Amino acid sequence: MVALRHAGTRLRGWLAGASWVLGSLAFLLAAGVVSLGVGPAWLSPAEVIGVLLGGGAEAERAIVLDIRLPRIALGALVGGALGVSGAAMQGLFRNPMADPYIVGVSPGAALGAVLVTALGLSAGFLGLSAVPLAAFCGGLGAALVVVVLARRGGRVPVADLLLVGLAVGAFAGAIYSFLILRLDDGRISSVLFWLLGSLAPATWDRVLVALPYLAVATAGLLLLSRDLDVFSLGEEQAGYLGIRVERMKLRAVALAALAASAAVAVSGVIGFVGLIVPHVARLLAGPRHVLLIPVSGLWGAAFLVLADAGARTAIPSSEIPVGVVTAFCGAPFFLYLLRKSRKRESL
Amino acid sequence: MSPELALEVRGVRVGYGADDKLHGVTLEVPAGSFLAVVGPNGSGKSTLLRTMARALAPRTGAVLLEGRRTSSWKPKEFAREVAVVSQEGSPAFDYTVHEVVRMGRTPYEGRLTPDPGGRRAVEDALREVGVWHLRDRRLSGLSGGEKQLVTLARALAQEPEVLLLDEPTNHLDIHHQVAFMEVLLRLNAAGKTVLMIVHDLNLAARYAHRVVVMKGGRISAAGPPSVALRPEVIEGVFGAEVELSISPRTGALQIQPVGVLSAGQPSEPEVHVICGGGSGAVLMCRLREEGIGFSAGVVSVGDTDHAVARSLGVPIIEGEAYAPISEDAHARNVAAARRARAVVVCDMPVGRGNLRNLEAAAAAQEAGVPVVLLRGGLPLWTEQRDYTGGEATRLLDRLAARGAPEAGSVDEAVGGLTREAARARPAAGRYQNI
Repeated sequence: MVALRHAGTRLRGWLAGASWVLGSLAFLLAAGVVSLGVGPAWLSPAEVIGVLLGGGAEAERAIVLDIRLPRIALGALVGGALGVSGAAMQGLFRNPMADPYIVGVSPGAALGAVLVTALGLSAGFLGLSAVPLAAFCGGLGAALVVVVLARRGGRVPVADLLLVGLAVGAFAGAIYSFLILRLDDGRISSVLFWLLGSLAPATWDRVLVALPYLAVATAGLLLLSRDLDVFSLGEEQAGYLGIRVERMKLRAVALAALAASAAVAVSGVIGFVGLIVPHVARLLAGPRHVLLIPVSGLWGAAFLVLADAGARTAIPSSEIPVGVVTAFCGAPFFLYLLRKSRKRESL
Repeated sequence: MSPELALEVRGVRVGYGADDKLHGVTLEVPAGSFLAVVGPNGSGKSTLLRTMARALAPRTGAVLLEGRRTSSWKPKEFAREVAVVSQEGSPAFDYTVHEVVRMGRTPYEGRLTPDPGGRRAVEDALREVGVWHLRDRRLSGLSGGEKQLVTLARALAQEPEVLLLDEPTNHLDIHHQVAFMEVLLRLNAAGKTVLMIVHDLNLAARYAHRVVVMKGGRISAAGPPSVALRPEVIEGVFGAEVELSISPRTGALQIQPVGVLSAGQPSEPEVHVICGGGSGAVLMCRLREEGIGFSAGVVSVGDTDHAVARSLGVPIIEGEAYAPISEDAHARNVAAARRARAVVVCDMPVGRGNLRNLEAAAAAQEAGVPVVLLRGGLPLWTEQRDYTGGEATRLLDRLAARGAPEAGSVDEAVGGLTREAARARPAAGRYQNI
């Protein structure tokens, strides 16, 4: 009887998890359909679904499938990568204020991108042009430098990771700021657009290039999800429970930095998604990483798709960088959450 | 190497940096034993525990689990044998009780493989510790005591043979403290080895089979509680004088601090307390609490009032046990009473042997020192207190007739003395200036 009841609660727990994931997926699809209809030529959701199912006029098909769909796919991919990476970094740092760029990924990527622009390089590789390639290498390279510098006697203390990440980021920032000042006007605006984050140069090539990194990082982090749960008890306690703490930290940092670097490479530095989305997901779906990671990914994807729809249409016949939109919506919301949680603590 | 040892520490030196925290510690933990480790702050207790749990690596020496060096165990295998309840705080994120206890199954879980015994073990652990009803609550909503029980349940979910606990009952109220220790006793009776660091010597004496006393990174005593916690050991290690007794309820050794050695000078006596047979104990405690300096006399060695006065570190005019007050003691008693600003005569039984105590009070009264007679509310109160055939009563009546007020309670007496002291103090300052 007891066993039966317990099996019942387990089933309920599993169903609850599954319904969170399926519900989030439905939310993402709805966001995608709405976003596909938004733009200079407005289409109703019904029309969009018609086109997706193979109907519709020639012009509508061109707008939805060739112009908007790659961009929305890229937005979903980048948002997903940031959500997943942010959830993992927050788990690793045991701090809901951590974000995907915390180990120096974004300044590193920016330095790579600015450097290539300043040198005027244009070589491409694997369908990527020079700037995304350099950004990807810069982001991962910065993370590697941070881990190596934070290493002390075979251990990487998480607090050191944070501080070294700040220092390396500031150093990279100093260099690229100096380089930007010496660029000519045309290049400055293109670099600035990239720095603020934008999905404008979306192509299917970019989607396909970024996809494997997100897939690998998400799968890897899902495998680490139980370790991340135990890690929240503290490093020493996690060690007492049989986790090889140092190895697990390095894997988590590597996978999260991989996802973040891939995202930065194809879309520039889009802030706040990787900070807020996992935070909200944890409040609503609970802290267990096996659920938190996929839900953060799906919500990150939906959030960025909707933010990009806003970025495309906020100003007629022009567009603003999507990073501006995410920060504009995200920062106040984050402050609201912060005040709410402080109030609860003080009770 | 005997096979019954669960853990063995062999000449372990551990250093965080330049100076060592453990200076060659050797300790054998028999399987199924209940060991308590005590010692002052910074004595290396936690370092020893963390070394045994593999969180710290010894610089020299070795720790053996079931005869094998701990460093040669795989992390998950080790975690199936040894569970640690440390002082670390709550998880960084707000998990439910069930989720936290489930984390105790980590050593049995593969990344993709299921853990067949897991559900059972988690359930049993939740019930064993008595937090089953809390299983769906979030940890942030629990009290400190409940959280500590959850941590213990998590350790039990590991199904370990050895439990290492670092001050597990710190910050727990008495109810949770007892609940926690009862669980440990049950587990120990079921064969688990328990090693626990505690601050509270009475907890160590009450529950542990063996006590290890540490100081300065070394073991300074070890053995059954009555051996390891001898007063001279505790005095040497903690620098505090203690008194041992046996609890009439539990039969356990009780350690009572008598005072910290050489902790400040007692203030100059303002009041002289004449007492005996426990009649002055409460008054003397109150005077100490109010910060009023006092002396006591004549009290016999072995008398309750003698023990209390000595533990409070005040000047005592001592009398021999079961002997009448000597000429010399009486003279010193009179001198002390005359020096005081006030004399309190407690409601003591008076016989031929201590009748001179009342004479001393009378002498002080004649010299102009105010005398207060304390009545009632005393621990050893008996109907008959005059064993002198009326002589003592006559002396008391004369004291009263000459203006000695009666105080109905310790509070009343101390209240009067405090006002007295407040009036007297400026005067005392003037005298000192001359």
